[in-house]
Amino acid sequence: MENIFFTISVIFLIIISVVLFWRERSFRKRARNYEANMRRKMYELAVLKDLSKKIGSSFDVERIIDVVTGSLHQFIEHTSVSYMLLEKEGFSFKIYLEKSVDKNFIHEVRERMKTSLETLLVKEINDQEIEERVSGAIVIDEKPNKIGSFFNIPLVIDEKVVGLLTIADTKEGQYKEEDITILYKIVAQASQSVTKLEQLVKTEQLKLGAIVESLIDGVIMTDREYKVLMVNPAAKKYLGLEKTLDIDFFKLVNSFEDHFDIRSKLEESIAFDKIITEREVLINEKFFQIVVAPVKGESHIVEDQILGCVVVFHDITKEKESEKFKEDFNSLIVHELRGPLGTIKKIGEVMHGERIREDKTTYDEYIKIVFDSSSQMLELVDGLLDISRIESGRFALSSRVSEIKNIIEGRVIFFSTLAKDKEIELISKVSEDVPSEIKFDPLRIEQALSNLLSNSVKYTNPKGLIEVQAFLHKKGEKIVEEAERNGVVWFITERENEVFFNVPDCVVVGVTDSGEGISKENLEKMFIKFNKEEILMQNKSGKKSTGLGLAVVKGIIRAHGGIVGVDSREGEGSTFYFTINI
Amino acid sequence: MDEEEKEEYKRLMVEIISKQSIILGPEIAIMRARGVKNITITEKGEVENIEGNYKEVLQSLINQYVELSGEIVRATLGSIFQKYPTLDKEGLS
Repeated sequence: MENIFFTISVIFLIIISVVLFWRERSFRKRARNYEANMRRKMYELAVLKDLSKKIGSSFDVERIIDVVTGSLHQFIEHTSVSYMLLEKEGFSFKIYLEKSVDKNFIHEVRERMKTSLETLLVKEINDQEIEERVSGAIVIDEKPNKIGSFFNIPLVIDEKVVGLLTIADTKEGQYKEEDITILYKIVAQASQSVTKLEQLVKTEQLKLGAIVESLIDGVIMTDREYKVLMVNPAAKKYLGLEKTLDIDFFKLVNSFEDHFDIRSKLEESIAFDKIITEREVLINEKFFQIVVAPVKGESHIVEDQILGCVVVFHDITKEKESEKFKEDFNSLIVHELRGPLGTIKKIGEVMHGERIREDKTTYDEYIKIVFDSSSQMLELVDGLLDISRIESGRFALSSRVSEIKNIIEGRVIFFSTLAKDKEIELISKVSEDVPSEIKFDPLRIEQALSNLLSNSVKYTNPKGLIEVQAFLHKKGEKIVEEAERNGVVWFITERENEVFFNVPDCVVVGVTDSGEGISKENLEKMFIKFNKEEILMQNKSGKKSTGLGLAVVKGIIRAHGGIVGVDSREGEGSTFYFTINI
Repeated sequence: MDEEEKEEYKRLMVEIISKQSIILGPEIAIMRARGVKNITITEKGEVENIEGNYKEVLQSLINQYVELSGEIVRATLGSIFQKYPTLDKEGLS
């Protein structure tokens, strides 16, 4: 009985011990699993946190791999971490050794990665294309090693394979699926973030590219090694490189010829981190202000690092012309004022004398000269004031219902004396359908017509004819046909039909003369202020002008909502016209 | 016919596992394949047996790899599928 009891107790104790042992073992296993899971989670969290910080400002794949692999040793055991990346030219293979291995181990890793990438990219990779870099533990050839376990993670950005990450170890069966999956998950998240960032950058680049492409200023960008990265259409045009394909640095240097030493300026800008401004460079008959400035990286990765250079051309030809013309104009104005002022001064001196007052004929003659000279100056000053008002938008009209026919007739009478002196016939032809009451500023329209008539009288030779014409235009009608119907003989041709097509119903006032006519190239410049052609033409023929008359006409008519125009046949005559809306 | 079709599916799956072994490494490629239901895989990555709907098994195998390394996997399968013109691949994604 005692034996039986003893045996049962022993069996019971054995069972209890076995149960306790299994429970203990199972508990330890659960604890180990729990610990392993915690380690994985901690690694995942730490890496993702680090990635979210770093990917926010960079999509440098190498940097991201460094973050993923930086704390890898805390999480899984490995002999090496390596990556093979697609570069602009070829591939880079970088392997970091956690433990010492021989050259064959490195070679084997490299070969496996190469085969994997070849399969992914569906292309062969030559060994010469791969640039290798080994870091970490030292390579010991006396200690032969083989790869026991390894796995690859393809690196994909924006649906394109950009490289491969490989973890390898000398021991077999080293990696569990859970460990590998976590790394895949982290790399996938990093790839997604980088893809998003890259897409954002691409969109911004496209926007920026479109802006630079459409700039009127020429823009050239180079990298630090003077490789030409971008030449916008304006720069190509200015340098005469529109038809040149693949613009390299040498083509660029040649296009500047001796006018601008672009090579030295780029070198200076990069070497001294300096913005260089060249105020006036003449290239292909145009003047440019050229700015050469270094381009710096703004992110923390390339902070203060000069990435290249940008060259900006600003076309200052018009400013230069305008500047020169203003200088010419100023000297002209000074000359124009100096002449009559000198005359007035001299006459003033002479008129101090007693004798001149007694000689009534000479006295009257001198008074007339003083009057003419001061009128001439006043005309010039008035013209300048009008132009100034037109340009500043202070040109006020006093419009009221007026009769254009009366104004035309009044001006014809006013200029007839002058015309008669030159043996020019001055007539007017106003069509019957021209309304007698239109709202406009009579004084200003009179001034506009006076300016046109004054020019015509100057340019028409003796025995010539000047005709002031007025007729009605209906919107959509052809102006040439309308003129014909009204018996108007002028120099306006059919090309003006297009100009008039959308012009509302209006009265067209034309001044046609049988003068010298105007060349085609000068026609377009006729209504420009300080018109050089107008000044030169008038001064050449001894007819003084400020070049402001036609610009004033244009300002007056525009203020009325009308249009101005001119056409001519050289050697036969010209027609200047303006419209007044009804 | 069914046996012939089964063998062809097996060959196709072996090729997929083999290609993924080159790309991802044999250990993880085989581990993932072994996670698919109704398929028996040897340690060397050979398909011993498949059961049930073969097309569904094939889809599960593809999904295992896509889940791991993303859509890039599908691009690598095109050339393998071309070798099996008689197999019904309609609806596979």
